Amino acid sequence: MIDQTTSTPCPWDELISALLDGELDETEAQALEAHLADHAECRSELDELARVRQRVRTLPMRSGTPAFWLRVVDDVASDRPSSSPTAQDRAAVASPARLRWASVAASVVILAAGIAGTRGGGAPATPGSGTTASRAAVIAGITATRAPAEGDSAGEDVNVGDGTVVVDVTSTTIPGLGSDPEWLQELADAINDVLN
Amino acid sequence: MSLPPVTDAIPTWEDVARTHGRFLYTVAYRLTGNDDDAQDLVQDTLLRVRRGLAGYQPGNFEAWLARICTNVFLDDVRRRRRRPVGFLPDDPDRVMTPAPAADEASTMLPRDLELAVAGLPDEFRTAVVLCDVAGLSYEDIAIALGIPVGTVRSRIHRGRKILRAALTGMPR
Repeated sequence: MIDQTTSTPCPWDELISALLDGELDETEAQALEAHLADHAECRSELDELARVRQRVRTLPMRSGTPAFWLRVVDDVASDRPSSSPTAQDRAAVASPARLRWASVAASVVILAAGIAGTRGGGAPATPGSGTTASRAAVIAGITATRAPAEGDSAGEDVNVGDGTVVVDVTSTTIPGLGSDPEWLQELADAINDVLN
Repeated sequence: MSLPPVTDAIPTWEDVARTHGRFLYTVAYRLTGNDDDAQDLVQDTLLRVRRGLAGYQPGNFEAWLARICTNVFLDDVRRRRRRPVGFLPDDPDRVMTPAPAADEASTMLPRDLELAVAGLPDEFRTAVVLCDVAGLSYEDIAIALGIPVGTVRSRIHRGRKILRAALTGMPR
């Protein structure tokens, strides 16, 4: 056994992370635990690395901005890598106004989760078939529907006019999207920026 | 466990984005350390899935996705050598001052740790991220990185020691 007072790592040292990760077989784990019982320095190492491990594992997840997802959906659907000039330009500009979002009606109503679902009278809309809008809707799990026709009772609680596209985000499945009001608002802003 | 459906097909990139978009973005962000590069990495990972270059085999879906993402990342590193932060890869106990914090307000985030992870040399960061962020087993990490399991074990351990040194060396 080496002298623990030196800076030379204990030969058991490298097994410590594997123990924390449950990656040692039973024999190895038992041998290491027996060693730890007798070596305070290695126990200390175990405790400290356990804290590091736990902190890394609890770092917050990242979602990316709605504007990014709207852009990347269009780029990937168009087979554009990030290095393509078009994609780079769009990323650099980072403005949703640069998105090609054609043939979408004049206004969009974003219905936040829990407010209203797909309108009964609304047939599924294809706001510019194959456009960014529809792709983004697919990706975000958004159901885009035409607003109900005038007089359709299903539209009573939503002030939408003819041609309005209702974007229902109640069924979004990008994690964080459906439950994060700020993300929803950012998405709404991004869409409206594109449209206006 | 039930048999997979007859059409146990390669997931579409839309499926990947829809169902695993946040996971993918998080792994990409931890690998690259910043949003700009993470966005490129997410885009190129989805593109690789879309082009059917991903070699999907039914199993651990997120391990598969993390492997693609890591491969795209390492391909890019090799091609462009663009790592903005680096220090001596052979001395895990030596800690450099982290890069300055980005402009973004992130007062609630454990920014020191994020920077320390971002500052890890590539070989340690990929192993630690795949283990502690993506949740892969050592075996899956070995497959993802094309290295022996013993090397995975070593890199994760050394990576954590670098992080520990970085964190304890900071005034907190």
